[in-house]
Amino acid sequence: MNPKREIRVQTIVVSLLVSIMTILLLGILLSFQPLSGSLGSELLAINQTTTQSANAVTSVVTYFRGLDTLGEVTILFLSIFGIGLGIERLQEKENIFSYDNALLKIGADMLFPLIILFGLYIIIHGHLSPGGGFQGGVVIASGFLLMFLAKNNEFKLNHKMTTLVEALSGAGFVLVGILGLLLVDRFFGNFLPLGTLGKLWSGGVIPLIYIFVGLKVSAEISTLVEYFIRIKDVR
Amino acid sequence: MIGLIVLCIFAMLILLAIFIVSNNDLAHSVILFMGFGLGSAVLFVLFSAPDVALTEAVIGVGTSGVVLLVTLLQISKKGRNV
Amino acid sequence: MLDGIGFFIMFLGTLLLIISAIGLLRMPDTITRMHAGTKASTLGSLLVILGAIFLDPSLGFKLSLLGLFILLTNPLSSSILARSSYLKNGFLNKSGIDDLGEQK
Repeated sequence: MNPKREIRVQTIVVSLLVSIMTILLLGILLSFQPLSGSLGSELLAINQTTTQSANAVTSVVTYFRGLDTLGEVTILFLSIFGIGLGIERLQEKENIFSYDNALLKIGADMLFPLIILFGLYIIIHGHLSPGGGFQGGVVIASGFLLMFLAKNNEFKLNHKMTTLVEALSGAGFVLVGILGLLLVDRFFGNFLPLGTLGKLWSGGVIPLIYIFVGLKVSAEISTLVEYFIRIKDVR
Repeated sequence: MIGLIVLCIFAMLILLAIFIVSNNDLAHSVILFMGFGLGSAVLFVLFSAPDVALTEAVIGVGTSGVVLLVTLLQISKKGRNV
Repeated sequence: MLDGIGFFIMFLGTLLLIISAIGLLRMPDTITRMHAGTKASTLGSLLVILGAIFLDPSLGFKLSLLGLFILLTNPLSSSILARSSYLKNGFLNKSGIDDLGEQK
């Protein structure tokens, strides 16, 4: 039997399997009936009394599902730790962008504080308007990315500083959860005064959690971007 | 009216996805991928999910696009100086 | 009255954006295409933001910050695109004026 023919048989078998799976999946999807009075409306109903947060998404992410957020942050930390382990040995302290432009440097200097301010605004107002820790952290990291791209070797991250910020904010995040467990009934329970809906001082423990998440995410993503920009000769 | 805009963006996203997969030049693929992220961010805003739209706009357009371009520069011989 | 002024300014802005898109399609080479695609679209975006301020004056501060951001980024990115195109492909303009070459 020549190899071409084997490949054809394999292709037919694989496509048959894929079509059977698709038909099964379509059957499951078509026979699926949504629960009456779904979880979302229930959460929205109790959101007003329990958290006083204007943005219901953030109260789901940090308050009702705080443990899942801890898992997400851990996954992000582990992936960046793995990339760092693989890349650190090959690291050569030089930017790959050999691009010298005075206009770009001045413009980056003017834009960098604006981007950092916008990221901090998104983090702090996470319980009032769309946004939160993850989004604001990534915005701050994109500001650092602009500086890496614009100033090729004059701008370097202080790695001790980023490690310290990341470790302290992760520890603070877990500490808030444990304080909730000790002072109130459950992990990530609310032990702060709730405040009034729509004010900056409201939402109880949610802004605190989001500040920690934002610091952690910004430190991690900036470190990742610096790894990618400064290495040479990936094998 | 909103439905018409959403349908146009859906058609544009499908076309962009076909172009991304079937392109020979990887740099063009990355740039089209950034355009795909921008279109889906607009779609998320129209579906009233601004949280997801913010994340998609920063991650999908900015950071991951630049990381993919940098990786492309690292593995290609010709593009050492941009 | 204020709404009417806002919609008129927004209409002017979208008109400029359409002109910029036509120029982006019709211009012959990279540099002139950049000229059409950035100057007109910067002014168009700023006019749209100004119209939005007229429509809802309570959002004025945030929208003016957005305008400042566009005013900072759009000319900068177009200048960098033009410069890198010049450095990569050489002089492609048909007008014969080469300012960046005379500086060296």
